[in-house]
Amino acid sequence: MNRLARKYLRPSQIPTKACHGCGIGMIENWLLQAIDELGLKQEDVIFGTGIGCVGRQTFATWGGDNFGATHGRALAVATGLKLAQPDKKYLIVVGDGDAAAIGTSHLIHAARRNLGVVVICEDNMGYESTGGQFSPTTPAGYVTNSSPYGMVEPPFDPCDVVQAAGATFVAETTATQWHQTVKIVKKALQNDGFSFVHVRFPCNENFGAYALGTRDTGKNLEWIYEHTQGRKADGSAADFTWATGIKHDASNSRPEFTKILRDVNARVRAKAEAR
Amino acid sequence: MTTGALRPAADVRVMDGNKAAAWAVLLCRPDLLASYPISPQTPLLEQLYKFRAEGRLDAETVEVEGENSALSAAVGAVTAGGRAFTATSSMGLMFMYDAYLYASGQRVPVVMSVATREQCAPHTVSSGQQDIMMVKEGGWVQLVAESCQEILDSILVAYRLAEDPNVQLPVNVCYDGYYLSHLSEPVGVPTQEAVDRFLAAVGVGKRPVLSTEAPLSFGAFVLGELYAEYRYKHCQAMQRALDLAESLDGEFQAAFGRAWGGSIEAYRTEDAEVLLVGTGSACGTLKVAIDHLRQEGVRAGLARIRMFRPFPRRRLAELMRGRRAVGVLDRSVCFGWNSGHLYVDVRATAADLEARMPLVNFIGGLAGADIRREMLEDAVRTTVARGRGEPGPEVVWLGLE
Repeated sequence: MNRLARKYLRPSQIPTKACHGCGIGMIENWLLQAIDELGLKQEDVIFGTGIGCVGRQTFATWGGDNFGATHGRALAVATGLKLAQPDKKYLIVVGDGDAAAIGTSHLIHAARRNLGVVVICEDNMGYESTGGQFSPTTPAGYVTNSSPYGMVEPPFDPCDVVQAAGATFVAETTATQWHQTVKIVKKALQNDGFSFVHVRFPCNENFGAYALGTRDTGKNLEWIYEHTQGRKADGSAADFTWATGIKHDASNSRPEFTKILRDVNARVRAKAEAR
Repeated sequence: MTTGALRPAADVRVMDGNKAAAWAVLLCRPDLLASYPISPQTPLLEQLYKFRAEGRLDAETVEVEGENSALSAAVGAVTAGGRAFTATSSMGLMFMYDAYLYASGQRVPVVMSVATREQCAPHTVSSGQQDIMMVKEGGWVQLVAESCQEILDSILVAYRLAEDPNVQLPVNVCYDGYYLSHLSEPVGVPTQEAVDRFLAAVGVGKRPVLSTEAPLSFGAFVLGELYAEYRYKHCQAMQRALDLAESLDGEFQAAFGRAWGGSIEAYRTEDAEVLLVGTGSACGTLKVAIDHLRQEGVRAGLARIRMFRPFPRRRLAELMRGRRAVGVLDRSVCFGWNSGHLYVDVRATAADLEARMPLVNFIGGLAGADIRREMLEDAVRTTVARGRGEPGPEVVWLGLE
């Protein structure tokens, strides 16, 4: 077990139970690095998750307080937690199904309110734990279990959605960008407001097998890397490009949601006492 | 392959319960399939996507952003006159609950299968029947299958029941997650012609639908007496569905050369001193336990509930009458009654009888826990002992005590 895992995680949950070549365990290690570099302790962070690959593989790994919500509801639960314990950091680690499909309304409203949590959306571009159906982030045209002729629906970019809704920190990265991801997560944790970090990672078992025709981890990571560069290994243009990096940084520019509520309560109380 | 005289109208193939459901849906010629993936029903929808990709199924398929949207889309399609299908399990069923109540209240004849599973919390994806019990009073017809063959047959029956002009109600076809959804058995697949004939009595043009020529409003806002009228008519339709389920069996037999069986399967009940009551695939093990004990002279029988809602109260009361004791097997928990859900129904049914008999409830098989034959033999013996006046707890948790 590595030093960070020993420091922050539950030994019984290590190593990760994810499929071979899955990016979830690796990304969680990067989250630990960011937490560690900020000097945060186990008791400073509450870890929440949902359902699906990301929910199941990260659930109860965190050594401190943590929760697993129903599918899509992690942010709704986190809203109550943050109100009750505003001084904690909240790391809400969910997948594309939780964040961009069944729980999108919570995502949008948490961003609109500037709820002080960090959402890590680990996106394997489909519902991989149920066999690899397409999700709202599956690239258009790609073959999945439920789109044998290619994904006919246009996908959306969750970063655009949360930025439009009012998120104060928005960034995109992938499982091929270790140092960039750590730097981004550190910045996200320093925003007293809604931070959203979108991390694409490979699924060898389903997305790789159906959409890319391979279960080879190296090849699937390479496919992701090519799409961060807009260029394939042979120098030809990729079919699309993911712009990675910090997309919007208005950290600490407007009041955090639970602070607004506490301030209102204080004002109302002061007014009532003055009467 | 065809099996000659045994199943004259059927092609017998080996398939699991999800596939059996998919074959039934294919044969019912739906217009819309709406889905959101959730274990253990997902392979059913995958199989339907496969049928569509092969050009065998002429239906629109939509994979939506959550279960609530899946049922809502199906409701929309049926309201417009189409035939729709969706499937779910567990928390997916809970997440569609407002659409579930809307479908039944508006009398939308949609068919939805449920590969039954436990509920969270705590989190689990294992088999159980808690999910369907949580929605049992939602105004839908609920059929519960014991085998993969019965899953296929029940979906055919479901469309016939749902769309009948005298019924017009949504129907759930429920089957135990993993035990049936992922277990392969030989299944007789009827011909398209036979299914078309069976469903000829229902379909487009035989019920009110949205149309521009004769506009209708669905989902009206009502108060007081009109609301009561909706509910009264809904209750009446549920009872007509029960009657139709019994009388349909002749039609089913004529179309497919085998029985579906109606609301309850009575197994070795003729001379039974004690009666067991159960529903779903665990009844298969219960039958083996009964067979085994009968060799020792224990006269036990089984009433297997095939139609769980509307509850076949009169037929069950007939089967319970005169027994020395009744034991009920539940794979779910009714928190409010400190027992299983089926047990509550059986207790209520017992009130219809002139003479009371001891009743005992066995709860087991939660979250995929094994219900072994020996456990059920103990359950039958316990029921016999209660019939002889031996005292004991009303609810026995199998494997826990």
